[in-house]
Amino acid sequence: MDATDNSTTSYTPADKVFEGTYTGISFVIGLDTAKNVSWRFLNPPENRMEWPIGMGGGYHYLKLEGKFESDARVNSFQAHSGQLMGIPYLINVNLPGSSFTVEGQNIVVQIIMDINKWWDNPNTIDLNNITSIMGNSTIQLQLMENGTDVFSIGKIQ
Amino acid sequence: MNFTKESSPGPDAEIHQPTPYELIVPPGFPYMVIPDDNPATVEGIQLGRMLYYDPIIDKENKRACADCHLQETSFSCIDNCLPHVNLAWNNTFLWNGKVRGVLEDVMLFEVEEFFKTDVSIINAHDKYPELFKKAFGTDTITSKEIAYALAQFERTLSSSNSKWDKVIRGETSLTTAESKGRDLYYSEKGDCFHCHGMVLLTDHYFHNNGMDSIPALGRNEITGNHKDIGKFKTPTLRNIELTAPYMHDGRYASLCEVIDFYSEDVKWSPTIDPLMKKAHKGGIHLNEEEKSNLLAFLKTFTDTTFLNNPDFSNPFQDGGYRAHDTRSN
Repeated sequence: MDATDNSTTSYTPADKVFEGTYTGISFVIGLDTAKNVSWRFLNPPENRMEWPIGMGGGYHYLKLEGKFESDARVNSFQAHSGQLMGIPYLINVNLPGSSFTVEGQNIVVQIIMDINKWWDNPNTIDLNNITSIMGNSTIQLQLMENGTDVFSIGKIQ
Repeated sequence: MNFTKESSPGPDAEIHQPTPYELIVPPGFPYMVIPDDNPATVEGIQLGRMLYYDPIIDKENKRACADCHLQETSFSCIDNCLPHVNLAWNNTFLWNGKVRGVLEDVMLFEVEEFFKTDVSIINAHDKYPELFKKAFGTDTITSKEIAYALAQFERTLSSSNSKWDKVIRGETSLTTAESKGRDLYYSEKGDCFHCHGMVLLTDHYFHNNGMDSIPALGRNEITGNHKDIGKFKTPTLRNIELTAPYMHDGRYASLCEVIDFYSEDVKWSPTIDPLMKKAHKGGIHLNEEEKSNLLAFLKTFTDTTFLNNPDFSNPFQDGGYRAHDTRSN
């Protein structure tokens, strides 16, 4: 998904969902380690997510880039998560309040990401003091742990 | 593949069968978009190559594409226009992305808006009508056919045999300095790869890389979005040691100056790209050894096979003679 391209911010699964009641929605941000190897994705947009071979190769899970204000000064940040030196920092997400029932109708699920929640709970990440994220295993772990409550359900209908 | 004369659909109509030409996508490269209505043909490519080197394409009859875009400089030019290399994989063209689409779209822009080609001259030529007939089956040459021929030729301008490519294929190895430069290029410190990554050495996006505290409009001229102020297209770094001057305004005459810019002269502006994370400190602050190593690695992107490929060179015999010169001196 590319936040700058609205055409990529919705996803329809290829397989239909069976009728019934579902207790919740969960997903993983990341790539299966066995498949997360360099040169796997040659075409856009995936090829733009390449992770340097010197850092273990493969592809980024997530690129979160932007600006933040601190002490009246605007700064840039780039939080890139991925498989660092072969260690997968897969972000497991279980969406609270995401149960739903399918009775033959189409279901639309809106998922919201609160960017601010990447920087706390349970780990405080101070962007003012960060010089490296991609190559920092400690912060990769912190991002992974913080990612569990970043997402929420906007609506299911 | 058959082309029929539009004006003669009857049983006596000629059948034009251009010779299909297989465009090879180098290993590891993305898929190549080839429009259904302009497949690669031998006749189309040859015609496009001729037009690329013929000033007949210019309304003023003063210059051909190749008069500015020199093969020995990777088809770049001294006016810092983007080089004509690997354009087959572009979906935006020009520094501000003014033209969006495929090669046919930008070639049509060049024909109609840049060169303002006088198609009547080409239609009256003693050779071109026959060549267009063979390539496109048309009796009347319009801007479209001219653009399509140029696009077919441009689509063949593929570079994939630099030293760096050979290293990836396991055919050779880097020197110590080049290896250190590569490590810096693909590190968070140098961070060249986020924009100049992948085999194309460009992400095809638009970035404000901190050249000015009050940047030029750039992409904003096209989108009108204030967030695009100062953003220009990421150029490919293929053959970069030969494509001076550098940046959208050609302000840097050498790669050393470019490296110095990224090292000490980056300027913050509100739309600066987040990837320029050391902007408030002026840049990534490389020492002299790091700069030298990075320069050594950048030079591994030079592809002499591309630069010397006779299939891309001037097709006219003596470099100046045209098939039939109807110009008055």
